[in-house]
Amino acid sequence: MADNLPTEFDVVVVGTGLPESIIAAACARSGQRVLHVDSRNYYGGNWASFSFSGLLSWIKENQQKTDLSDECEDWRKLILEDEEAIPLSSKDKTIQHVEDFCFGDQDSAEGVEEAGALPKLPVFGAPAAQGETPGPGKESPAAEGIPLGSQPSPAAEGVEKENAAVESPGEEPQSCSEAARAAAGDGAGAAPGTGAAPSTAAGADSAPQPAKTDTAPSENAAQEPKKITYSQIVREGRRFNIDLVSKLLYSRGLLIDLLIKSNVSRYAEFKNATRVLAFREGKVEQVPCSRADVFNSRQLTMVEKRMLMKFLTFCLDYEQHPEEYQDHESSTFAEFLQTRKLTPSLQHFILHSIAMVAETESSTLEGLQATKKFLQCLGRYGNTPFLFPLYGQGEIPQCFCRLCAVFGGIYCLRHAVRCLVLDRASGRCKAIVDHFGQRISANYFIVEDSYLSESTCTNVCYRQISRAVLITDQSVLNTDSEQQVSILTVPPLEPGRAAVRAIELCSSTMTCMKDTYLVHLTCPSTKTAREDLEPVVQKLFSLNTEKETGNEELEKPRVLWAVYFNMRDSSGVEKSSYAGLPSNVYVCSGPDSALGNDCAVRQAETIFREMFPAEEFCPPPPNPEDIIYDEDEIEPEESGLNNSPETKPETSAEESSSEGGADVTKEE
Amino acid sequence: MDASKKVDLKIIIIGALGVGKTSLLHQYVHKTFYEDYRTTLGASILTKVLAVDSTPLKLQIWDTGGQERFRSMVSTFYKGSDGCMLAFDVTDRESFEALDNWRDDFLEKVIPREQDFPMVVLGNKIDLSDRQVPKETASAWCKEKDIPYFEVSAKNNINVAEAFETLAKQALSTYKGIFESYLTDSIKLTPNDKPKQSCC
Repeated sequence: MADNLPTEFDVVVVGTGLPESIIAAACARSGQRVLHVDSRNYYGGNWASFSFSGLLSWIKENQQKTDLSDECEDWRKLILEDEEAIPLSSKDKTIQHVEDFCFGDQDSAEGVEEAGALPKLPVFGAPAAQGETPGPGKESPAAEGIPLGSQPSPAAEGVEKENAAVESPGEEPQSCSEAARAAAGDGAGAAPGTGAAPSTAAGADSAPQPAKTDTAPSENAAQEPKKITYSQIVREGRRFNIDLVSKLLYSRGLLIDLLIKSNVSRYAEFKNATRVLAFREGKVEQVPCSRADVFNSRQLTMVEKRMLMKFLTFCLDYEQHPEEYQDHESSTFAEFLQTRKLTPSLQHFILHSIAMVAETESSTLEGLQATKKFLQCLGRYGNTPFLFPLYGQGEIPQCFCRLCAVFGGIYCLRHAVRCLVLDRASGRCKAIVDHFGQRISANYFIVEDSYLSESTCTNVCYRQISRAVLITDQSVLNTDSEQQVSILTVPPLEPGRAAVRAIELCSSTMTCMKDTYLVHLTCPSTKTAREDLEPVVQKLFSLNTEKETGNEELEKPRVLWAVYFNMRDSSGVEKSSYAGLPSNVYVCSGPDSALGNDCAVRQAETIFREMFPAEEFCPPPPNPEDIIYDEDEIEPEESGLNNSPETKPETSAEESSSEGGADVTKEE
Repeated sequence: MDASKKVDLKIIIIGALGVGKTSLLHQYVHKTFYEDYRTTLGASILTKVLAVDSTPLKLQIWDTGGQERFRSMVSTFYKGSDGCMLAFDVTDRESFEALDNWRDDFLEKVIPREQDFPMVVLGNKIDLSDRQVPKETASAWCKEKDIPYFEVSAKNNINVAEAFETLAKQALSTYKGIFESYLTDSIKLTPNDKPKQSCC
């Protein structure tokens, strides 16, 4: 495979996280020959997203303390007299303190197969035994009914299991006979067992039923959340797309603008964040942010509504009214808010959920600017300033990679790089040596921080990000609609700690299975992720499988599964902090802890402009894909959504050559 | 059915390097064929609107962008796909033998469904004489997997439209049966979007 790989490029990019993927796309777009590699078998690095089983593998990998001694240094033989080598790291060290917990009955999930997992051995005979369609899963009435009845089982007494090496049922596809036995013998598995039968008879018949089965259990369950078991999560594992990074896109932000400008937006779809929430006096509340929200709010008094509207209107062009804030420029934003006519709850909303700045450290100007940014983003696509990518944040780097590929970039996953090769005389990097021992030369090299060796990073001081991902059974704030995407900022529970940002995703974001929610928590680290975040988890959720006696606990959503981890924050590191890197080697950072993606986009643009100052950064592609209409029976869409004049001649050429005289319009 | 409400279907086309995936796509959508081999450069999604059983469909067909060369397709490529076209070159035995891997790869990456995933297999380049894969062999493989098989030529435009239309029909009937169609609309970013309220 590597024999086919060309050995000369203009740019080599190591790592497929967001900043480096944007650079790769920009380079390919401007005609550079790009080689883009990643040592892993997936895209995204620390920006990746995983299915449930994929995440369990990732957890296992990061919990193992194996320290690979540097493997054989055969590649050193390839370094010539007049050259020097800078070794790259062989093991990623950016993830620490990974702790995962299962709050359901994990034993009953023994041997449960992820739906659609393929058997390793060739399969002969009955399709039902393949484990390919072990059951309609969520739609089957059996799947809903049986686990409900059997709860709580003895093992599930609110035991929190810390799994050093997680038993991950269904992680590896099993042989077909094992799968069949497992499916049949599974405790909660009368469901897959009975499910198997319908799968052989699968056809249009079974399809309409889901609509009915959904209502039946909910009638019985009334107000209670659907009881999702761990085995169901495993079985439906592929419906999960769990991001390592939790961010949202500002509707008027650098990333959205770049996606649209470059037409990379073509590869992705988005959902609106539908709610902005606050946590105040032990309760989760909805924050009214738009004019309509404020007007319709039932929580705010008339007086509060006027106060809030007045303040927000001022913030929208605060620079025009310096007299309002110039006396407070040396105070914190929190102090400034106290001087305005605002009730404590309004101050809380503005400080924590709208401006989202730190209470004790952020200045008045910072707060005003942040509030303004929030307000400016309202209404572009929806009621809140934010969008979320369908299938998760992990899609975004991949979209840029695809653009790079489409413009000739060559992609190799599972391709590690051993070292950079420097020319002694010029001090410039001239090549890399890959794990096949192949030298690949280029003029520019982009390397993501985690690939650099410890010695290169000796002088770098890294911050950390504390992360938690929870699978829960109800929203933190139940309203009439279940399909909500919400952002909740929890102010520091103790002084000196950071505020915690929580993003709750519903199943229509395609990141979790139906009747569950995915909750992502993030904060800059003070301690381990669990120490930083568990107190917040305990405030918002119920961690026990058995119902608590207090009513409070009954109302709180239940955590079905959780993982905590610390991730290195290599953003904002000066290039000069890295030891011994030549001028034509650029470093990209991993994810930062901010909500938006500005850091990644700025980095990418800065680096690109340093390399190719005369080139445009990600211009729109010259030949946007066209729509061809077949036969005249369909009314052509309105044409004219096109930006670039040079595409017009294209249109008429297409029109004349296509048979049937069909109309041709550009898409987007 | 309301003609202004087209059903959007995403189709992907996979297979070994050089079997003619892009040519098939261009033949179907643009009715053009380029003799010289060129890796996909620039266009990666082509769209065709057609009617199947009086339902207007908008087929969004994704080409691989060349990432299949080193088996490094982005998972974005697979997400949300409604149908899959597996292509091989009848004059290249290896490309036929690779079909198993391509099919498995695809099934591993998509969200499984009750019914079999809409799929068709295309044996391309039947216009060439140095055939290595007999029709019977390919048919037998497809029959075993219960996938429709089409012998096609992108160059001479043989059977191409039939193959795509069969897949489109399959994808449409599966689409109609799927529960997820209850999910609310998503936002597609366009350069000329106007501020509007979303429905979610």
